[in-house]
This record gives sequence, structure tokens and C-alpha cells, in this order.
Amino acid sequence: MDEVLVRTFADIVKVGAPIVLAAIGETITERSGVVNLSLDGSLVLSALAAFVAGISTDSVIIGILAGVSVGLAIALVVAVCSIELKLSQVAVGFVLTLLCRDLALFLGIPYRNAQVFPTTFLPIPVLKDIPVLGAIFFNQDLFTYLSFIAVIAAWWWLFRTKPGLTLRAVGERPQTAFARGVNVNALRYLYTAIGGGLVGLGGAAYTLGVLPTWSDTGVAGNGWIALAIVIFGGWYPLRVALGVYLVAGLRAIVTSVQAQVPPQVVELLNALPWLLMLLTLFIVSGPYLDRLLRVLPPRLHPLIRTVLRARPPSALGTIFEQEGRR
Amino acid sequence: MHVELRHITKTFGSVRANDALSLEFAEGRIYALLGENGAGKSTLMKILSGYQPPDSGTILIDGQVVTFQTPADALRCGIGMLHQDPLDVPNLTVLDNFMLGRREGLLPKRNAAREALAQQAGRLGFQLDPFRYVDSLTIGERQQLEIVRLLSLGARLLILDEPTTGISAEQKHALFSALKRLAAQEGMTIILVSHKLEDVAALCDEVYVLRGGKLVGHCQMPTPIEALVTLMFGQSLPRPTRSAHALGEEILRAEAVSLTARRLTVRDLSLSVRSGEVIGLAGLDGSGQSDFLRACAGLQALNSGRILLAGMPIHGKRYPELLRLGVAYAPSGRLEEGLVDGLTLTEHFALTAGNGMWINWRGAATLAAEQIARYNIRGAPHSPVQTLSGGNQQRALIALLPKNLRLLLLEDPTRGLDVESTAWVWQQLLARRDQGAAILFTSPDLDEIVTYSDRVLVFCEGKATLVTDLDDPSRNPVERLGELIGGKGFGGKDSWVAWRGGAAPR
Amino acid sequence: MGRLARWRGAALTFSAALIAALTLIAVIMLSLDKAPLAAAQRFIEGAIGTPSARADVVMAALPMLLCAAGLLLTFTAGLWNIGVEGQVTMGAIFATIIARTIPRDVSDWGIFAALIVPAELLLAMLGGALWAGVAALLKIRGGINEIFGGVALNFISVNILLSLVNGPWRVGTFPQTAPFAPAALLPRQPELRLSPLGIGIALAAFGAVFMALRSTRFGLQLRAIGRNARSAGILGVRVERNIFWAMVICGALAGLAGAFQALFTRGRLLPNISGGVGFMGVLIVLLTGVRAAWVLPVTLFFAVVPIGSLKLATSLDSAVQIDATLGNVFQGALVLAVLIGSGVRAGLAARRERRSEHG
Repeated sequence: MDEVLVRTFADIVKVGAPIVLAAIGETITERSGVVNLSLDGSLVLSALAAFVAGISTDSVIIGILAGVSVGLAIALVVAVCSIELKLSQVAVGFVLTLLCRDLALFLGIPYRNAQVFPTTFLPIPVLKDIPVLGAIFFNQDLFTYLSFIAVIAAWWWLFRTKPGLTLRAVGERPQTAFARGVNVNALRYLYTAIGGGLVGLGGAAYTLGVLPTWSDTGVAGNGWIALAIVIFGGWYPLRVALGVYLVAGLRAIVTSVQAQVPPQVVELLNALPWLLMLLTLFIVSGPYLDRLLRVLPPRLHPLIRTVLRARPPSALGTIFEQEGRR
Repeated sequence: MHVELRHITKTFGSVRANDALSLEFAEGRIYALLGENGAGKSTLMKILSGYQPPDSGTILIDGQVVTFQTPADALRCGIGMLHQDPLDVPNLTVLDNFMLGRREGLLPKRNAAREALAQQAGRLGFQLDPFRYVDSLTIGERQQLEIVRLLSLGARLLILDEPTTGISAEQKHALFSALKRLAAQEGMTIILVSHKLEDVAALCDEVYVLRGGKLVGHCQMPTPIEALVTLMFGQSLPRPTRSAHALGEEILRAEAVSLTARRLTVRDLSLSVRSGEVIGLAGLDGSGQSDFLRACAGLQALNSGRILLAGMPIHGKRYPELLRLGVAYAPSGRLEEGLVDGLTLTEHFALTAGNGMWINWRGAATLAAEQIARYNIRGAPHSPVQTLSGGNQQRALIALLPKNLRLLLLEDPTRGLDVESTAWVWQQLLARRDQGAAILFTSPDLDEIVTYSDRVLVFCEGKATLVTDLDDPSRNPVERLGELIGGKGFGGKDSWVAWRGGAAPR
Repeated sequence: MGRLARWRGAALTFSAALIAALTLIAVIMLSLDKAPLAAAQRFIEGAIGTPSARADVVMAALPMLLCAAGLLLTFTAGLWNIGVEGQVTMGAIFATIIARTIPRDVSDWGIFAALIVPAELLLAMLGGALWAGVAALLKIRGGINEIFGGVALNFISVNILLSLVNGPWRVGTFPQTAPFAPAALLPRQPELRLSPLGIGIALAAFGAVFMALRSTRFGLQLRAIGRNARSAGILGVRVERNIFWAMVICGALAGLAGAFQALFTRGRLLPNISGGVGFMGVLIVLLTGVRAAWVLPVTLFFAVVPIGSLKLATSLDSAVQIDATLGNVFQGALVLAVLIGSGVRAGLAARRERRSEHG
């Protein structure tokens, strides 16, 4: 395979890692029935926290811990507001988006483009020598590997384990889960926190891996991309990862032609990922897919449902209250 | 297992749903818990199965006092409950549903679970495909899955809440024979919560009757049905009779309609309805009867064919336009669909009555007050609708129906209402019919369909069959409909299946 | 609960939230070795101490008020029109289409000179309405949640703006247009930077929305849709049509806000022309709990913050000099605290009710 192409693919996988982490985190959260709309703000604030902690201790581990804690803390605010105070998850999430972004902008002023964090490049012996695949997947930095692990672990947990089955049931029909002995709200806390932690890890992946410096403009906006990709991915981890790589690939193409076209065209090309997003959301959530299903033979339906259809967990965004037990 | 309830009391607001109830359930017997809606049956069973704690009173199992924090606690003690709307997860497979809630490690033992499912189901004579999605099953099949699951988790006492609503005669037969076998051969205790006396007579050994939260009767079967009715209502009820009335011209015409319902596609449905006619739509839940109603209201698209309103095709017209032409649709959930939570009665009348840009609030309040008096709604013009009781919400919905009605499309119009409210609602509806409106309604209650319909359209397995001679004295009409919706009775042997499709030659 | 008790409860919640948000800001300032009290004094003086500062506050409030007015309609219908930012941006861009072509001298235009500003404003409303219409159609016809459609359209509008000011409309070294000619700007009083026309338009728009929600069929239908769209449809409300018009009207008002930003606040088209007034409108409406009557005072309060923050940011005294972004942090924290406070209050009220029910 062409070496340039291999390098481009390796780059796509690397640049996509933070969004993969955030989108997988949100997938897990939403599978439990909670929407954490604060993703864009969480990502920026945890990116700053990770960078500050990392640069002042020279430790990528402490940087990651700082990022994860911030993401987790913000997610817990969403969970408490939703579960204890019964507030709209969308309202709280949106306000948190703005608040966290502004907070990061303000607190990050002294660190603006100050320094570069040394990336943790970790080629995996033996595996990296596999032709093509080795160069794309196993010659990467720490965060890229973490993003692979997150995707596979989330898929395995959701669809191959007992607690994963319970998680899906909590997001689909919490009343049933409760009747089967599940503590619905405790699980919602847990998975919202785990999801938030992964978002924080995604933030850390920006400032300690991809960029790797503090720049709010390099991070902001990607949280919204991640939220939209969760829908495009139909709440399936593998489809979510694919969605991220599609967007990252499109961005890579734009970057590669940047030098050849005038700036006004570059700016318009930058709108392409968003247009792609609208188009794909239109396909997966619009009424047209159902119309398509109606004409296709029934044998193809299961395939098309899993590959194309996006049906949110039935209890997404709702509050669980046990009747008669007020 | 011997279960005893002692002095169970539960209060909601000012309503005492259970008033010091004491009941006993012995091993190997089948009990009925009878009572009309609001008698306190469901509350008591929710307490027994761990969904709600009682305010006071105790539950004893084999002489030991037990308390349940959750339904899972109750199931661990051997008490399992089957809900009217089975409490499962529709978007998961049968096997996933079967495994959900089993206490085992991180990795599910899928093969073992599949064998357990097949074995339990086989023992009861049920057939369940482990890989089907639950949302493609009928209510009856979902009930079977729940029963199998509860038994496999060690339930020794099984509570069934109105299990025969919305299932076919065949499924009912299978269910009852399985229950009888469980009680007789394995010593299970069964409690049937119902208001259907024929089910009680067919299945039960003993009957407890509740009225207004109190225990008013305990008798051994067989007991004459009239005696049970008297216990349930405090008086014996006259059976409502259908009055003859003149039919007008054709209001609605369906020509070779095909539409997609939740589980199947209905094909080649033809029907002609004249003003003053009442047509009941019978069938298993999701067989297309609700979808046909919605299609007549312009709320659902047809695959093919056409529907005409007084000779004019309704294709492409949306419901608000049809409403102006005298077509009204009332869905079954009152507050979920039909009334707007948070708006007052006055605001509802302002919304539905009158046109123009500005709202005349004083006029709307006057109208609301008039309608409140006329329909005997317990509430004020400024009452938010969610503060009204279920029966009063139903009254409000009827009061909101436009004056010049030509076609009324009702989905389960008396869901959750007590006998008195049901009678009132039908009195209002038939008054509209006498003014010349045609009525199409669905109901899971075949009694209601038989009582009020002139003709019945039975939906089964993608076909819609018209039944006209309900008055034939030689056969019980409810049983006949029950067989039809279960898929039996087709093929022309039964003379009373007059014809399929076409206009009614009345 | 009586009207008075409701007001008292709301005032209590707001005060507690205000204290919480101020405490957060004070802690941040102390940790940066700043003097919060001195800064607060300077902030208040700077924002409302002089007539010209007060005039600035009023003018800063206008675009926010326009956005908040539009958002009252969409929120009432239960729509999260996050795309309001993009609608502001498109308004500014559309206003610029005319504004950048107006020469400095229009003395020979006669009566047509008086039509310049109205034409700009109308075009801006068209631009905003167009962008909102796209979001509405994506929702109604494509099943795309208005939040995601709106966010995508926000980013796309920024890309269009950047493309224009980097390309065909660029004048000079920076990515921006030339300053607009005086005749293209919103007319203003020379001494106070106040625009009576702007104030009139914004108040009229807000008044119209207020009346629409209070006593028109449209307003009642939006309320019904917001509470329960399915039921509203069953009662004969044309849900999709109403949703479309609520979005489009909101977009038109947001476009007007964008025109104010370009034709008054900035006087030219440049990146980040919206200055976040759209999201500010969302925060305002959330803070009021979608109650039209409270929008006016809250908007004025929100307009004080950027003006005061700017005075602090440009201060030479290092003990109070602080970046203006902190003002945004304060606003966000305040709204979050109000939301949480209202949740706590509702929870306590429910608990009280249960207790009295049992007793």
C-alpha cells in the first residue's frame, strides 16, 4: 500500500482518538438513559485540567487523572441534577457546556500556546511490524491505544456480559430492570460517571497527545461532533468508532488540500464534516429509512436496522421514579 | 407455600385503596381476586409482590413475617407477578429477557439459559423462539415468556393481573390449562386478578371479592355468577341493551385498504359505514385495528387502497383538516394523548373552539363552565387537566368533541373506567350516534364490542373480517369473536361469517 | 400556592443563586491574587456609574432581548433552538450584503437614503429566518433533533462568515470588511451612543411576542405543543406548521439581533460577529423559566455583565484587572445555580405536600 496513504490512515486513527473516547463515553451514558449534553464543555475543561496537571508534574499519568476527574465531576453534576433534582438533562447539560467552556477559556489564559507536552509514543513490538495494519494501528501513542480499548471494551461489555445486558435494560425500560432487582438510579450514576470519565480522557488525549498543547480552538466543537456521532452510530460502539473515523478522514482530506486552494475555499471545506453529519443524521433518523425498509425484502431488514437505523434507548432523557414509593 | 396477608392498609392521598385487608392463599389452589376498577385489587397485589410497601399490616409466608423492599425480594421469597402489560424489555430478544435479572456472574451462560427456557416452556406447552425480539411477539406470547421466567426463578405463587385482556381464545385456553396443571401437579398457588366473571368461573377454586378497598366476600367456586356480581357492585346490574335506530347515508368507505401495523400488514380491507352505525373493531393487540382508526383520521399512511369520507378521498389530508370536516379521533390514553398536561380546561376549550388570531378568554371560560355543568365534570374552568380524576378526564375529552360530528373514531374509549363511568361514556357516545354520527371503536373487551356494535370488523393475521349477525341466539357472540381473533373460524364453514369485504347490504 | 408566595420563592431562589455565583467568582479572583471587593466596586461603577455606561448597557441588551424574545416562542413550543447563534450570524451576513455597498456619501439618494437601514434589517430578518427554516425543516421532515441540526448550522454559518471575510469581502490585513458608511449604520445619538430606533424595534418585537404568547391562538397552540405535541395534534393543532413558524419567527428576530451587532455594535462584519448573544438569549430564557414577564429585567442584568467586565479587563490597576471571559463564567454559573435552586425548591415543595397529605 502507498506509504502516504498508510500514514494518512495512521493519522486519522490518531486524530480521531479523543473523539472516539468522548463518543464511546457518551454512548455508555446514553445507554443507561441519561443524556450528558455538556460534552463540548467537558472536553475543553478536562483538556485544560489534564494539560495543566501534566505540564506541572511532567507526568502523563497525573495529567490523565486530572482530565478524567474533571470529566467525571461534570457528569456527576448532570446525574445529580437529573436524578435527585429531576431537572431537564438538556437544560443542565447545555448550561454546563457554556459554563465549562468559558471557565476553560478564562483559566487557560496563562497557558495559551505556552509549551508542548512530550507525547508518549509507544510502538508495540512485533505487532507494529505487521504490514500496513501494524503501521496504522500499532505504531501509535498511548491515547490511540486507549481509544481502541474503549471501543472494544464498550462493545464487549454491552453485548457480551451480564451487567451490559442490565445496562441496556436500564436505558430501554427502567421499570422492568427495577422489577428484576436492579438499582436503576445507582447504575445511572455509575455509567454517567464512567462516561464522563471517558470524556475527560478524551480531553486529556487532546492536550497531552494530539495537539499536544493547550489551545481551546483545537478542542471546542469536537464535543458536539461526538454527540452527533453517537446518534449516527445508533448507540453501537463499533458504528460510533466508524463514524468518528469518517469525520476524521474528511478532515484529513481538507487538510491535505489546504495549501492548494484560497483561504475562503478552505473555510467552506471546513463546513464539510457538519454537512456530512446532517446528511447522515437525515438518513439514520429520518422517515425515509422506514420507507426504504418497506420496499426491501424482509430478509435484509435486520442487516439494515443494525447498519443504518438509529433508535435511541427508549428511556433516554427520562427520569425514573418508582411509583407508590415516593 | 402458604401466604397470609394480615390487616394490609394503603392510603393514597385521601383515598384508602386497601382498608385492613386480611386474605389467605393456600398451596395448590387457584384464587380469584374480583372487583371492579378502583376496588383495590391492583394495589393489594403490588404490595404482595413487592412493588409498594403497605402503610401498615404484615405479610406471612408459611407463618414467617416477611418484608419486601423490591419486587426482586418478593420473587426470592417465591412470589412472582405477571402484569397486564408484561413488564419486559421490548427491544431485547426473548433470551435476553429471560436472562435479565438472573443472579449470575459477569459472563452470561447463554446456552444453559437457552436450555432452561426451552425446558420450562415445553413443560407448560408454550413455544418461544429465543432469538425473536420481544416487540414482535403478541401480548399472549409475552405473558408466556414472563410466566416461564418467573417459574424458572423459583416462583411458588403466581399473580396474574387481567391476563386474558388482549389475548386470543387459543392463547387463553393454553394459559388456563398450564395454570391448572401447575396448581394441581406442582402445588403452585395462583392468584387471578380480574373483573371477568367467565374467566373466574372457568379457572378458579376460591374467590375473594373487593369493593372500595374492603374485603366484601370470600366464597368457594362454583358460586352463581349473579351472587358474585352482587358482591362486586353491591347490587345486580341490568345488562345494557342495544336499541334499533335508523341509518343514514354512507359516511365512510374503505376500498381495498392495505396498511402496516406493528406486527403485520393488513391487506384488502373494505368497509362501508353509514351514519348512525356503530362498528366495533376486534382483534389482538397490534393486529391493525388501531392503525385502521388512525388511518381513517389521517394520522397514518396507507400502503395502498383508499379511504373516502362522504365520497371524498381523504388521501393527503391531515387530521386537523378532517376534524374540521367532522371527523374526531380519541386515543385510549387520556392524558398521554388527547389532553394536554399543564393546560387548564378553559385553555383546552379555547384551543378547540373558535378560530381567528386572538383568543377571547372570557368567552372560553364561559364555554368551559357551560360544558363542565353539562357533562358533569368535577373540576373548575381554571383546573389544570392533570388534577382531574380519570373519569373526569374522559368526560372532558367527550365535552371537547366538536358539535357537528359525522364520524367518531375511538380507541378503547372506556379504558380504566369503572362500570358507572363506562355506562355514562357510552350514553354520551350513543347520543352522538342518534344525532347522526357513525362510530368506529376498538376495545380489548369483547363484551363491550358485542354490547355496543351493530357490526364487528375482526382483525386477524392481516385479514379483516366483517361479522354482521351478532344477534344469532344459537351461539355466544363473545366466544365466537374470541375464536375469530385467535385465527380460527375462517374458511366459510361457519355460516355467521357472512362475507369478507364489500359494502354492507343492510 | 398564591402568586405572592411564588414570587417570594422565585426571589429567594434567585438571591441564593446570585450569592453562590458571586462566591465562585470571588474564590477564583482570590486564587489569582485579585481584590474581589474593589473589583466589584469598579465593575458597578463601570457598568452603571455614568450615563454613557448606562447607554452602553441598554444597547448591549437589545440583541440579547431580540434573541430572548424569539427563543420565548421556541422554548414555549418545547424546541431547543440552539441554532439561534447561527441565525444571528446569518442575519449579520445578510445585513452586510447591502451595508458594504453603501457609499460614504448618500446625499444625492434623496428618499432612498431613508430606506437603506430598513432594507438591511429586513434582509437580516430574512437571513435569520432562512437559517431557522432549514433547522425547522430538518426537524420536521428529516427527524433531526433541532439541537443537533442547530449546532451543525451554527458551525456552518461560522464557516460561511469566515469564508466571506477571508475572501470576497475582505478589506485590509485582517479578516474583516471595511467599516460601514454612516448611512448604512443604525442611526444613533451622537453624544450617548444610543439608538432610539433600535430600542424601539427591540421593545416592539418583545412586546409582540409577549402579546402573542398571552392572548393569541398561536401562543396557546405553542404552549400546547410544548406540553404535549401528540395531544395537541389530537386536539386539532397543526403541530408541524406551528413549529415551523415559531422557528422562523425566532430566526427572524435573531437575524435582527445580528444586524444590530453588525450595524451598531461593531460597525462592520468580522469573525465572531454574534458575540454569543444568541446563547446569551438561551441562558436568559432558561433563567426565567420561560416566563416572558421576567425576560426584560433579566436581560438588562445580563447586559450589565459584559459592559462591567470590559471595564475591568481594560483597567490599569492590576488588583482588579481581569479577563472579560470571567463575566461569561459568572452568567453560566448563575443560570446553573438558578436551575439547581428551582429543582431543590420543587423537591422541598413536593416533600411538604406529601407530609401534609399523610398528616
